[in-house]
Amino acid sequence: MTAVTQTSTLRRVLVANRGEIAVRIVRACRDEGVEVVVAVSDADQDSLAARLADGIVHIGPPSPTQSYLRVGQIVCAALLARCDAVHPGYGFLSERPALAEACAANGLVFVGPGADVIRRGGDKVAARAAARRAGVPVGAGSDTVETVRAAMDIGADIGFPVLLKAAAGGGGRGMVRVDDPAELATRFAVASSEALSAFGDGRLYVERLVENARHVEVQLLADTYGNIVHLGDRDCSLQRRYQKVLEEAPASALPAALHHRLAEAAVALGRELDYVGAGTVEFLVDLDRDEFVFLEVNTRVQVEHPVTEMVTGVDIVREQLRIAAGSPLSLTQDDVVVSGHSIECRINAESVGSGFAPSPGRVVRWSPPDGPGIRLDTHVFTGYDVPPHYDSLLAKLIVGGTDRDDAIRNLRAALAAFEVDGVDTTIELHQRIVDHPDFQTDNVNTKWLERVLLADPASMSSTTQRDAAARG
Amino acid sequence: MEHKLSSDLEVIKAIVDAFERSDWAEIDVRSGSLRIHLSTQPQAFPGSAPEIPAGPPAVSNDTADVRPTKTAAIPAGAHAVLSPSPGIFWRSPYPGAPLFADLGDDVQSGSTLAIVEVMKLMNHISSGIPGTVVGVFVENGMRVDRGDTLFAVQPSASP
Repeated sequence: MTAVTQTSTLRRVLVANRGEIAVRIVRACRDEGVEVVVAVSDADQDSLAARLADGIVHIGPPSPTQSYLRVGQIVCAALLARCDAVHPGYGFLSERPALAEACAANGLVFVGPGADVIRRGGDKVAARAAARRAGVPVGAGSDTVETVRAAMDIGADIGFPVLLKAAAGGGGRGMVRVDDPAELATRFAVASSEALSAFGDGRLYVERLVENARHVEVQLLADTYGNIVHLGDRDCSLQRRYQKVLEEAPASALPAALHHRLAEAAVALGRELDYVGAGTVEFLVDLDRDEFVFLEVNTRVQVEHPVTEMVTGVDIVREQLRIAAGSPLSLTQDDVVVSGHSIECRINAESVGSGFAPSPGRVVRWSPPDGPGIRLDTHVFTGYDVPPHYDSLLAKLIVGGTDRDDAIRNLRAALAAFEVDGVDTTIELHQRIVDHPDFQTDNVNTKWLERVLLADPASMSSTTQRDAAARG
Repeated sequence: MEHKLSSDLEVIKAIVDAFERSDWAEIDVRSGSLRIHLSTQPQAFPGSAPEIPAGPPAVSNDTADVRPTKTAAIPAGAHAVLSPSPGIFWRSPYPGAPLFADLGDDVQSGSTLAIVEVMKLMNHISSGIPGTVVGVFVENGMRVDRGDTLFAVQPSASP
């Protein structure tokens, strides 16, 4: 191993992503003094990230399968733009070992862990095995199950309801709930074929379904010298269809002892995986049993990383760039101090009153709030045409405060000042969340949004009416 | 200028080397005036719109902003099937797969005629009535708006 000086840096980075995270990476590159080029599909050539970058490379038609999801296009775009590194963002190819491998084979630095770590962390069965080796509790359940009979035995052992999960899944996709043993055979076939078509891998495993749970995750940073630190935790319990809606840092509902145990478990797993880069270890905290189990590792920057940045002052994307350049972490565990509280709302182009139907189209007015303690990560501007080809995230509104109550007060004001016309957004959903006493008292779980807030007709009606009025 | 040229040649060589080492079927990247298009299938040249056998949903000619005609001629007595949302119109589940339904096909009320993809959500389009497809008004891969006429279905004669 050759010694690398602390000043090593990347020269020019290709951003292999779009939307708000492309803008975020462009800004981090600027702050690091690194040139940045954005790979764009035909739908994104006039995007905000494209305008802010030093250059763009066209990588194909709008469909992700013809542009952002093609390893060859990304690698050749980086070579064409004379980049020395590729930042994959989140989603798309960020957790595909093939991109990390192709980068390495062509002399490009992949901003993330190596293909081997992505493979071990990303495969849910392999990750569970690694967690066990690291002494991290995993959910009652199985390794890969081959047959309905085997799944039935495990279900009988751990008790229904259970979740059938795709071994190659993640990010809330590839899960099927089974309440009753009688449903198992049908659900097993459905889950297996869905897993095969979505992930190219039909392997399943079984896990006990925790009914009253909070989703808590720990942010890790690890460099190539074996240094690993955690940046505290985040609570991402507010979810709809296993997709996160609102996230907070720290996970203030947990007792102090649990914060420490989660952080220790995450770091232990990071060491077990020889982790390098920014990563997240997700846990399910069982509120009824006061214990936690390992869920999955995300080997990339998370959508919700800004709440951690806000309470720690650490720029996670800049740290990613430094780690990728071969520099040591700019901080030790003792330097990490969590102060205050931060909440992020995902503002999506969706019509809440119409079953969260996607709402692409032209944004005729985009007037976000600003002020102290408010951060907005977005690629949207007045006149932007939200394309139908990609996910519906318009912006992340991140608001801080001295404590959770203070953050909620600031968030409420920020949401009230956020004005968008032309597309439907989830702003009003967030307003209903922050106005709800359960949220204000931090008394929620992963099912609360669907079973309480969205199940309450009184809570739904105002949006439905306003949507109807807006459509005129 | 000479320096720029030699530097371009280095880049092209690096990309050709990468392509030869890989299992990629086709590469087509463009930056400024320089476009590099490599394919294992010689018939792909010279093309401005490459045909790429990618995963679903993908087609040979991607979208662009060409919209279908808003007013489609619906044969007398036929039922118009409208797009429920803006999105991309797909006639088969993945590239190369048979069409869900073609002109002249008999369809059930719930059978899928097409998918309108919007922001990763796949809306399966069905006719709502049993009948025969007598009109297809949008080409595969085109962008559609909410309310655009996608198909005309002639209802089956009542028994």
